[in-house]
Amino acid sequence: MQAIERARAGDSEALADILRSAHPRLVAYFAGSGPQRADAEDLAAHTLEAVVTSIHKLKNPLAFEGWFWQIARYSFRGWIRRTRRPARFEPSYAPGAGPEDAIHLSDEHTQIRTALEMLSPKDRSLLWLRDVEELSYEEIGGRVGSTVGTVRVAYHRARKRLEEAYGALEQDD
Amino acid sequence: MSTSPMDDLKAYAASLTDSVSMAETDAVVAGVLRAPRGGRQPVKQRVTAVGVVIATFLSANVGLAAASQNAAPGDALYGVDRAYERIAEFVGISDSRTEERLQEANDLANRGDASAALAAASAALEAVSSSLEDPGSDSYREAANSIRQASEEITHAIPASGNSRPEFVNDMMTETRMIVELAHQLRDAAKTAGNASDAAKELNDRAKELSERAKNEKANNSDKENPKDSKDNSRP
Repeated sequence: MQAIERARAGDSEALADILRSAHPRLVAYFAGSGPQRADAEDLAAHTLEAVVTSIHKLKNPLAFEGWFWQIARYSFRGWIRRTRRPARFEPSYAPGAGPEDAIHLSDEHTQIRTALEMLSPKDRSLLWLRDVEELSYEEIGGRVGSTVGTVRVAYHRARKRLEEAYGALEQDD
Repeated sequence: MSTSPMDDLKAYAASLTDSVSMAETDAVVAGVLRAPRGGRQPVKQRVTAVGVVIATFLSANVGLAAASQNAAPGDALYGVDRAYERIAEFVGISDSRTEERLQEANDLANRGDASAALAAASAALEAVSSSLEDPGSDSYREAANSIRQASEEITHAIPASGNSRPEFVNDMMTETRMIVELAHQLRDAAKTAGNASDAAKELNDRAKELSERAKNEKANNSDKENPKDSKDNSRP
């Protein structure tokens, strides 16, 4: 929290720390929500740029998480609009990992990745923010657009769709 | 060995997060913190697609060929591209003008052409404000007016010398992107008859804030360009 306060006040070291901790999560969010890895990296950098240029406008440091992910979602929605193409997935192995690790990781997450692929980018993004980033419904709703109730309903529908897709894949095995 | 999808999702997320190396993060953060910022994402893919459509248009419309002569600095396709957009928009099959202007603004900012980038950002706002007028509610109109006002203020804030502060250009680029994004969300909300008035208000507020900042920038610019108007006469 102090780091956010300092970054808002113009402390570039504090800002750099925030960006460093946010970057891998952003890449994961974008890559997990649909865009190819290279696009995910672009989107992450773009989101960080927007954070840098507007952090001084963040009024309440406590609202940072919601504010931050709102920016990420703007970027993501912009991407969906620009590309207007169904999302595809790439294998998600660490660049430094050996081939066995790569295969292992790839196998390990095939089911969830395939299940995610069956959902819309919006559903994936919603599940990610709620279950991975653990944002509240209020934070996900943000200042624009959706009420808490709407987000809650959308989330539960998305979750049901994921569970169904996941279950169907399990039966196929 | 059945796991819950939510646990699996979390594990998958962790593997993706771990796949980002520290070196990569450091490089990105260093790049982001180093000005100038303002854009990315080349439009190369789009140019090809646009080219195909243009060819069709050109064969059907000689007037368009004349319009394509009107090229701005940069790509040869630039003028053709714009002419295509205008026609597409005129016949109501496209709403790409905002996006294209925004992309140009990004590209120009990347090239370091600050005043042209600001002009393109202003054009993007102008385009998005026109696109908002359709739904016709008061809150939309108000937001559209504020955006149009913001668009004008940006152009006023371009100094005669053309040397805008990079921070100001970055700021305007980010805000413009946000406003365009919000406007798109607002229109989506209108389609689903959601409660759009909050969104319209947010958009309105943002546009007004942008106007204010552009006005301040203009005031700063004129102080610099006309030092004799200020009380400090000691400067050369």
